[in-house]
Amino acid sequence: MEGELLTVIIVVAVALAFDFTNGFHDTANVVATSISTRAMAPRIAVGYAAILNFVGAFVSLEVAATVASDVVDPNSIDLLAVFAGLVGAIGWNLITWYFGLPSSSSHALIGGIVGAVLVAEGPDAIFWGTGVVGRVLIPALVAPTLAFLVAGGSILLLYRITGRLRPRPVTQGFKTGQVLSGGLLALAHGTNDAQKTMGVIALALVAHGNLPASDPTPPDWVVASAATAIALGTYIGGWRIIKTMGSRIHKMDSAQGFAAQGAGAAVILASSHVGFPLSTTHTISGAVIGSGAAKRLSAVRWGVAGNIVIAWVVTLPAAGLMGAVTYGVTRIFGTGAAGPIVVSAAILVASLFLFTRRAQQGPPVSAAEAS
Amino acid sequence: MSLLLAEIVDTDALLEMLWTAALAGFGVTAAYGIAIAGGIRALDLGRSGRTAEALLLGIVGAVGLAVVIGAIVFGVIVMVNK
Repeated sequence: MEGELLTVIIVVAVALAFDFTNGFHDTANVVATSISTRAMAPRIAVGYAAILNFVGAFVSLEVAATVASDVVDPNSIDLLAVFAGLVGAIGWNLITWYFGLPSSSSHALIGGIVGAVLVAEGPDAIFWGTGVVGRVLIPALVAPTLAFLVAGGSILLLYRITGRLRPRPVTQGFKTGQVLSGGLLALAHGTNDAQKTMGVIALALVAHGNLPASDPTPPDWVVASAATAIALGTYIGGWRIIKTMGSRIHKMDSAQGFAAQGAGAAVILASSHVGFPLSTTHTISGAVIGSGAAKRLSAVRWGVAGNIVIAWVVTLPAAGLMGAVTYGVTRIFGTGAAGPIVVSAAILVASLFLFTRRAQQGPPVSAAEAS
Repeated sequence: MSLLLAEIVDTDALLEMLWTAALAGFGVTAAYGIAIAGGIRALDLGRSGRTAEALLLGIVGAVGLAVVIGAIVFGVIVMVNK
């Protein structure tokens, strides 16, 4: 029993570490638009995003409920499968980060859990139709497309309304609006992404018997710790972005920034409300591309759009494979806490090794394009 | 094929996501655009002494801003209370 408690503690710690890296990685998506249009100073934008990510985590629990009960069967989940799924997702994120490949933390998390549960419990423990396809894959396809269309339509509407006015006060007006739309985007990000971690921790608590499988609502401490982890990740990730911000982001005017942030926030919040765990990265990218394409098709870096589609296709099965392999490796050490301890140590060493190598070599070429 | 999709996709949730995101996205951005346009035109007209028209456009701008703030507050309340 003590060994199982230790495993729960390790799973919660790994889940919160994943949440932290999610915030760290996604800061760029949330604040880039506000900073590139000079609507907000970088330091203020990052601090503001961190606070609203924290607040967003408390707004809803629908996505957490989907992750905890609609994708895999909580009645037949075991702790090692949850652990392996998390490590699979972290491993895939590390590999894609190192090689500068586009990825989605959300898809990696779902893929990792599905892969690990598939190996651990068999295909019957996964809700393929209503869960994986109905609540993950279809929304993952619809959300970026919807964000693209809403952002594109919105910018045309805004140009129509304000196009004949003096440009300077219009620009200033939209810069002020970006404080609002950027805040909403950060709130939306916290709402959807922090909840995925809450859902995974809830799954672990169900497996340990702390929560009933019939109602795996995350307790308050889970909500608060997931909110804190994503907010800290956002804040700390921001300092890296402040240093590298500048030429990597393509030029957009403040009206486009406002439309992209507004559309992205609207789609993510609407998805969170109905419990769809979607990729916030893909949705925000869809909105940014939409606001650019509506003005001028050639303004969009279509290579980035292509990379997003590739990431959409590859991430789920690749993270699934990583989750499955991790489960197999963890089980070599039995069903106690030994496997999670050894694998956690291995992933920590691998992370440090990759961070050190990347620091020595500099960022990969494609990373700049993907951002 | 479409029958199978209808069985596995939560159509109600998907449609709710589609219409709420479209309404909020288009509605809030348009209302904010109207707020900016109303405010700028009101200032310009006020400077040229056309006070009545400036007042009218100022009200239009204020209504646009009120719609934006109201929509955001309403959206957050709906999400928190679900």
